[in-house]
Amino acid sequence: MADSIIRAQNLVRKYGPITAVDGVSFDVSEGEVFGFLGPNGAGKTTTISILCTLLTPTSGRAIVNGFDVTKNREAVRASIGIVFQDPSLDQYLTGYENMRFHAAVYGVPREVYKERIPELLRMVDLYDRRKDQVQFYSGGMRRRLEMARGLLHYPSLLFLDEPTIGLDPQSRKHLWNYVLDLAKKENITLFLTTHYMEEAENCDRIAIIDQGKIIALDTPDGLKRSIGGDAIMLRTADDDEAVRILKRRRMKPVRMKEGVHVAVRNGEAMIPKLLSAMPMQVHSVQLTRPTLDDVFIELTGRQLRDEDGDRMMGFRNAMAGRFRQGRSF
Amino acid sequence: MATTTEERATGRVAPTLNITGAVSIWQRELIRFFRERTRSTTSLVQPLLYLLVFGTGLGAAVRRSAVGGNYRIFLLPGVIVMTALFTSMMSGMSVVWDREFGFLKEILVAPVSRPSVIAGKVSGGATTASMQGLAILIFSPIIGLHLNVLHVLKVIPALILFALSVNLLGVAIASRTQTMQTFFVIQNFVMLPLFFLSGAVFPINTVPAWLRALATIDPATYAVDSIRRALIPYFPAAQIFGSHRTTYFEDLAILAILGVGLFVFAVRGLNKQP
Repeated sequence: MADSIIRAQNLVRKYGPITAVDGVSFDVSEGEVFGFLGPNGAGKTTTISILCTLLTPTSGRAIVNGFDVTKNREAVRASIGIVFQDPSLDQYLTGYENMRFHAAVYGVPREVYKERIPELLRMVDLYDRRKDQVQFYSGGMRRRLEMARGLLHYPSLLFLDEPTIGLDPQSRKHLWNYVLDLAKKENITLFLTTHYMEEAENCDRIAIIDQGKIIALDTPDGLKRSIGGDAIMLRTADDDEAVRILKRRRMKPVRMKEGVHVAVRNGEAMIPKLLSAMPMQVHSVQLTRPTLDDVFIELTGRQLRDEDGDRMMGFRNAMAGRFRQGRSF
Repeated sequence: MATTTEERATGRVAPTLNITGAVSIWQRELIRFFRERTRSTTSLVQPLLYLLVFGTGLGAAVRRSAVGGNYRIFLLPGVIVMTALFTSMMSGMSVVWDREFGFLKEILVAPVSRPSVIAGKVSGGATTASMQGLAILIFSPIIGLHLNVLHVLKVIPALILFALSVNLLGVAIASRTQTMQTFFVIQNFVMLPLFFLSGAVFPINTVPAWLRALATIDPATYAVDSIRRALIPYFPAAQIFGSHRTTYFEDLAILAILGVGLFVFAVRGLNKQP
């Protein structure tokens, strides 16, 4: 079981002057649920595209299911399933026809898919709608269909690129139950990307990726432990001064829109000390057990969902998008 | 390990030409075509307008001897080719639509070789375009042309070869362009010249040499000529290479050679992405 199903070594992908993936290395073991967590534009989709053979890396090497992603592209493709970030269904075909098409292009024999398709459609609760065209499906239904389709040819590895993007919280939760359930039933390795912390919690291991680099890789608990205890959020009359005071006390405060964020070893005991150290008025103090969001803040000084936190990031996104459009489908 | 282990996808590589894959892609084109019934019925309106309005109006001004008889009958092969040309280009270019709506990714990431993808795509597009082209023949009694089965059977290979070529051209262009807007540019700068230079609306035997030279390099010329040879045997063959009049089979051979060349061009277009 400990065999690596994905082995990425120093992957680099450049779009002109922009480096979208900057020396990424990691291993994923068989049966694992492995997550890539990071803000938009961090390089998650680019990494997945390389692993799925849709993009060639500028340099570096990746082995998926024992096949090199640049030298043995069709073998890699035949052995993996993918659910793309953007919808990739034919809206004018019915749910069943989309599945049958997939079965045919992946070479699943007719006797097999005749049983497999209804079984999968029942698993994602779409069997009753199988004769409806996909254009009449809701967003959540389409996602579920894509997931069932990704599993159709018995892949040993399923890639999920932001599987829940654009869905409401309820559908997201629902979908996750399906995914984890299916993965367990079919003994499938999952490689997923997300920028939702709650979703990353479902992973066995998480790689936190930012600006094309993996900045941490561990289990969710391990990551939280690594930042050393609790997180305190302070709102004061003068946050800048508060940051200065905390820095003088050898802490690592991070100034954010909502206030000052600081990681502390023992939150309950620290609050009174912090309060007495602040000369200005303190509006509120919030103590939280660490989340993956805190881990991200600790590592990067930015919030995961702080979309406009980095102006260059928006630029990188736009450029990467443009290059991607120009170079691939 | 779960019970499915033995059935697991092993990464076995499909052969270079994957028939099942190509057939599925062909089938998808047909399903979509029949599902959009409005498209297939309204697509008959434009040819009818050309045939009745354009054909009658212009026919009144054209000497019968110049076109070998009734102008509307002369125009019929041109209208068939026009229909096949426009719908083929449209379905070839639908690669752009597929990219826009994401389905192209599903196709490109499948373990099916690029030549198989293109073979399926263009044969689907050619099938539907040929059906639409053939449907024009139902107007032939209206304009006084009486057909037998042999006529129709001779039209089919010419129509299929031509539709395949134009579909391939469409895929080749679409795989090299980014946006849907390009399509309309292509329509003006590729399709209309192909149509007007083909001898669809005037006989190319009597035009000045420069115009005949352009007609000679227009593939649609051979489609129009072969269909005209098939339908109206009494009409004099178009003089293309100098004074040489191509036969029905020479026309087909030229279209077939063109198709092979365009196939390579289209595969390279789809392969160009990294």
